[in-house]
Amino acid sequence: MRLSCLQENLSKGLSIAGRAVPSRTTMPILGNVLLATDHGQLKLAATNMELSIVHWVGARVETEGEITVPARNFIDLMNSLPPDQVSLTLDESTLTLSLTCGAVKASFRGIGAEEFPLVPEPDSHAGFTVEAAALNKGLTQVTFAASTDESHPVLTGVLAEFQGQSMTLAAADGFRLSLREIPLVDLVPAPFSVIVPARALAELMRITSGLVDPVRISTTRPHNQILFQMPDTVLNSQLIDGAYPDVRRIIPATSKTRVVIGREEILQACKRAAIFARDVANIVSLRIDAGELTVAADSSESGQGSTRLVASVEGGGLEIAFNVRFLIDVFSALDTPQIALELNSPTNPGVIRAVGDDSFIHVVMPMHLGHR
Amino acid sequence: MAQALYRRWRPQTFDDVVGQEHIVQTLRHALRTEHIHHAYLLAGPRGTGKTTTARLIAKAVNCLAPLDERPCNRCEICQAVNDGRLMDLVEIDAASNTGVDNIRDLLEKVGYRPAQATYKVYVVDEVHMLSTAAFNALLKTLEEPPPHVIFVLATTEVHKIPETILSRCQRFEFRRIPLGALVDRLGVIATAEGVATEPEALELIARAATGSMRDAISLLDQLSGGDSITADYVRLMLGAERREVVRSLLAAWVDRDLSEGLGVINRAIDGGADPRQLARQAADALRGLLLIRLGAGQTWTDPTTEERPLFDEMALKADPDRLVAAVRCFSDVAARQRTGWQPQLPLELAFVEAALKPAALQPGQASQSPTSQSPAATKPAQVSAPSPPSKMTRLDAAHAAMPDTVPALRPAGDSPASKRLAQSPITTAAGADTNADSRPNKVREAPAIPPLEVEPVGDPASVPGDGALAADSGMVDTAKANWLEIVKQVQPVHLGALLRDASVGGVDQDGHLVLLFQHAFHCERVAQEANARKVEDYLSQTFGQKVRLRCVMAQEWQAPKTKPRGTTKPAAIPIEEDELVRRAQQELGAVPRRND
Amino acid sequence: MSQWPVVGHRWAVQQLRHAIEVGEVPHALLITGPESVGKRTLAQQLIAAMLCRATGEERPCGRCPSCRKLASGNHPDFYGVESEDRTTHLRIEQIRDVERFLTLTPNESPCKVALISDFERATVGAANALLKTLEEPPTYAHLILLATDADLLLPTIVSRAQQIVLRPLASHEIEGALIATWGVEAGLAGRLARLAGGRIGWAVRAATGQEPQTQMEVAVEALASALREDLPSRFERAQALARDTATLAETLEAWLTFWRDVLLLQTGNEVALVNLERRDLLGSIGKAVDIAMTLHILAELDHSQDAILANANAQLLVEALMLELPTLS
Repeated sequence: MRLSCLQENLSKGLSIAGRAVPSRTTMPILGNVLLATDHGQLKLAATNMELSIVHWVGARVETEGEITVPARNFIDLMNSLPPDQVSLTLDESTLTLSLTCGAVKASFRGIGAEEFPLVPEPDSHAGFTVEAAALNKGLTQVTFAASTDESHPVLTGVLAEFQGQSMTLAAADGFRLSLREIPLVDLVPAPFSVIVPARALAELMRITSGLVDPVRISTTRPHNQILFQMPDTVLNSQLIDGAYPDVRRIIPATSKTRVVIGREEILQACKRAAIFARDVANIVSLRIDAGELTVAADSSESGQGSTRLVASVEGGGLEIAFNVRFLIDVFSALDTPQIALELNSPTNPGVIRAVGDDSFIHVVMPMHLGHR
Repeated sequence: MAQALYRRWRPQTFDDVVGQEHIVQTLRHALRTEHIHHAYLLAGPRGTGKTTTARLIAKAVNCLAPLDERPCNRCEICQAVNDGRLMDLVEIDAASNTGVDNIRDLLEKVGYRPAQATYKVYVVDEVHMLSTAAFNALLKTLEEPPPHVIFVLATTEVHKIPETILSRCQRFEFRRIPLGALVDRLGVIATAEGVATEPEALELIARAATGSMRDAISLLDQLSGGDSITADYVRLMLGAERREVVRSLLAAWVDRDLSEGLGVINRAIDGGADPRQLARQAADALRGLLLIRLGAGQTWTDPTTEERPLFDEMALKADPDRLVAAVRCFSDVAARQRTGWQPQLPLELAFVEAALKPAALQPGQASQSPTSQSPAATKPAQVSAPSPPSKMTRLDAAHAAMPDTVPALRPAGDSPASKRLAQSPITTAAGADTNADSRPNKVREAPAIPPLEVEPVGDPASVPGDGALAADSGMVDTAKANWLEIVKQVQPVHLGALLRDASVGGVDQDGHLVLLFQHAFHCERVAQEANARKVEDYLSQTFGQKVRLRCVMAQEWQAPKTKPRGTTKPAAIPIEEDELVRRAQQELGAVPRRND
Repeated sequence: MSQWPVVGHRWAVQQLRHAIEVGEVPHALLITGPESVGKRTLAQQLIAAMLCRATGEERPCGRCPSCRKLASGNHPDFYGVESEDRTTHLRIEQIRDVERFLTLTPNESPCKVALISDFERATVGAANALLKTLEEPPTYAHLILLATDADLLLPTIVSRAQQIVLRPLASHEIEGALIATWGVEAGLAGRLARLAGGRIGWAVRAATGQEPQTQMEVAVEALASALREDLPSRFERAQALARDTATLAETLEAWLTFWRDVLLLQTGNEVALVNLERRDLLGSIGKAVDIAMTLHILAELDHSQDAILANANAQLLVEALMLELPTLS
């Protein structure tokens, strides 16, 4: 292998692929990043067994080849180099990768690329196209609701359902549910669903942020992985095996009380209430009366505070308690000026919607007011 | 790759729960009349249906079908539970989440309403593993559970659960599933799975499962690879030895033919037999002989018709004392955990010991010992004879008697043989440095501690009259070995239950018997004046000597560095002296040197 | 069809190869047997066969990318944990790592395999932490547990796994393998096979110089000398023996085999004799002491081993043993 490319490109590419390098591992190969010539480009790949990221960088390839080198050292060195042409030469017999960049010379002892875990090749014919901004918004509004409790692995993932001309993302941790439907450009021939680790989607969120080009999503059937294909990058994630809860059963069909309120106002009111809710398991109460909603928290130790907000209220008044952290999470993730709160009783789940955006729904379980 | 049978056959309705009719009936009635408790405690051995019942409760209380059809297994709730995806059923393993933080984390969440079901059901498995602090944290919530929460606590060791928790739960005691019920269920499963089985094979499987349905079905699963399951195949796979092996071993024991017995053992092991399994079977068969001998042979149903006369004949040749001692020798091996390079060694030792033992202790009764042509078998005769003069010196005369690793049920008392032997002039290696060779008169008299009677009753002769004030090592060892038996006798029963948490640690400097507790709760209770007195009285009576107790937590106790020995402590070394030497070495760093 | 390179345990190999062929390897497998009897070798063969990509030939092929990755410790669909050394426990966190590994779908194989060694050293918490995964593993997941003895495990673990019990090998099996596979000279092979107590791993290490094979002879030699010494000399010896904590357990084990041989001679059964080359010494001891004495010493040795495992003071222990030994004049 012999090639050259620009330091800026290589450094930027490594910063993307390098996100998949695990901080600790029992498998030596995972501490390495793969470098391979690929159709006149340099392919960089890293994996932590949960997700892998492949990124392509423009390069002048003289001879083909592939190698893996210790990721940390290689990346650190690359970031320290001047913005210049970087030449890479592999000695196949010793598996040593030599680098020159201006006055800098370096070499790395590598491990053969055949030891690197297989990274599935994206198939340009399979899969469904989605707009990057829509995908990013969906991830922002859903992923946070996934559980972090590893004793129930299924809930640490996000359910992705493909049906008709849409992909529905849903996450639930037993106490709340966030669900968003995202339109697809193509029609899904046969509906299916997979559970994607939330951690992988958090990484995808980062990569798709500000991206304009569409993203192509596909799954590898025999190997049970999901691939997100972007112009120069492919993120691919393992899936979580298991039965996901039937999330639609959790969404109440009707509501007796509906409150429409400014999102920013209620978000600020919740943040204030959170100060007093710290000592009382983050419990805040929402009291709904005609034309107004009061967000209050009462700690017998540190005091109490409340904010009264003007709201448009349909149906009867009631008082209901929630974990304020959950409310802040969802209100922060939304982007519409107004939100709607739909309730039945203090003991039934509450529904939060984005007014004017029907493809999002959030359900949050109330708390037992007597419980402190 | 197929799902394990025991999962596929996990009961989905109360009707399918086997062997726990008393529980099913009560639960069903309560659920139908909507008398729902907020905390259940399911206690019982493994594989008796605790987790199954917990899930049935979760389904039944939340099922959408009419009351008397619950659980229906058709509604969305039942199906979600069956698929393991109902968010409102939370299963927690207390054994790997023992800490108070784990429980606090859980309790923080009980405030949330269920997402889909009427009740949020928390199943806490192995709940006895919780720390004291965790129990205390849980207690608060059990006292005042939110109305939408049901706790189902499950445990295999109910005696480790604090009384305060017990009193707040409705408690169900699961019992081992009867053999017949296991066999029936195995039959149903085998038929449904299309596995041909011999009835005897199913019974063998059920026996091996010792009352656990999961064990039984697992075994069936494991054995169902081929076309059909025959009894022979089950025996082979269970490492169960051919009955002839056990019979020959017993015959060698009856005849005291050591060479033959060891040969049987080694041939069986070479043929792939499992030594402990063999020991277990030998113990079972010896027990059978004992039953025959005591006139209750018909209750021993194991032997075939052809075998019965053979066993009857053997039983006639072995007297009950010998049988009892032998059963103990072999069952000790069966219960042994550590295996060394030569896994058959413990079995070999047990056999030799069992073959010789009563002869050595009670030569008078060994008169009917059959004569054997084998020259080897005549050797044990030396054992009971006074030590012949030899080039070998023995450390201790009492060793000439059989080392008594197991207390005999009926104490041998101070048998004439051991007395006589103890007085024979023998020098010891230990005595060499005190120039004992020239003073053969300094013979250590064996304290002649007879094996102690475990049962409080028994003939008074078995209780030594002059009870030493300090607990001695013989007593400690006996107490240790028989602790669970002893505990069973303690009145009132709950005190016994508390004591089951304890084990015998040894004797402290003041001669108090040290009990080591796993749980502070139990320790404190037993240490209370009134309770401690009761235990002391009982133990004093049992051992015929004054016993004082000291209750400590196991992790806080550091045994005085005594000779790490068990019941075979040679009686000829007076404990005090032994102790002195040891302390000198330990505390003064004394290194024994030549006394030239 | 070629055989797996596993010495002995033919029925177990057959059973597992059959399971591979028909694709019915159990999700939870427990392989038990004494140390060095071949548990890990068998498990490794099984795992390699499960992950091997060869078709139409005996798996594992040893050549495909999967076999090579497994050999170099870089197979993404295999994960192994063991206790860090011979004295430490398997911890809950290690079990959680296994669970985390099994939670995600396989990387490049049809299945994922986790191997947990030394499971008898799992803490109660760690063992319990595995129960759920063991009972309801993902469809592609396989758990293989290794332990010296099922009785040392939680019964709830054992009843959730299919068990394969490996027994000590017959000494002729070891002898044959040493000669055929490791090219050991016949005389040495026979001796090692007798000393090995059924443990092929020990015999191979001894034959290939990884295990100081003399250790056992040193131990027996020490015992033979001690029998002729007075107490002060014995105590000095005890001190030296106790200092070498690494070999003390082995020394006691060697002494056990020695005294067992004495017992065998005393009972007139020589077939299973281990220390054949010391037949004379054994014989003279056998004549000089009686069976009761032999049994007593065996019991003492046995209890000492328990005490060592319970971290008793090694020096006191060996000294106590020295007190028990008879003196040959």
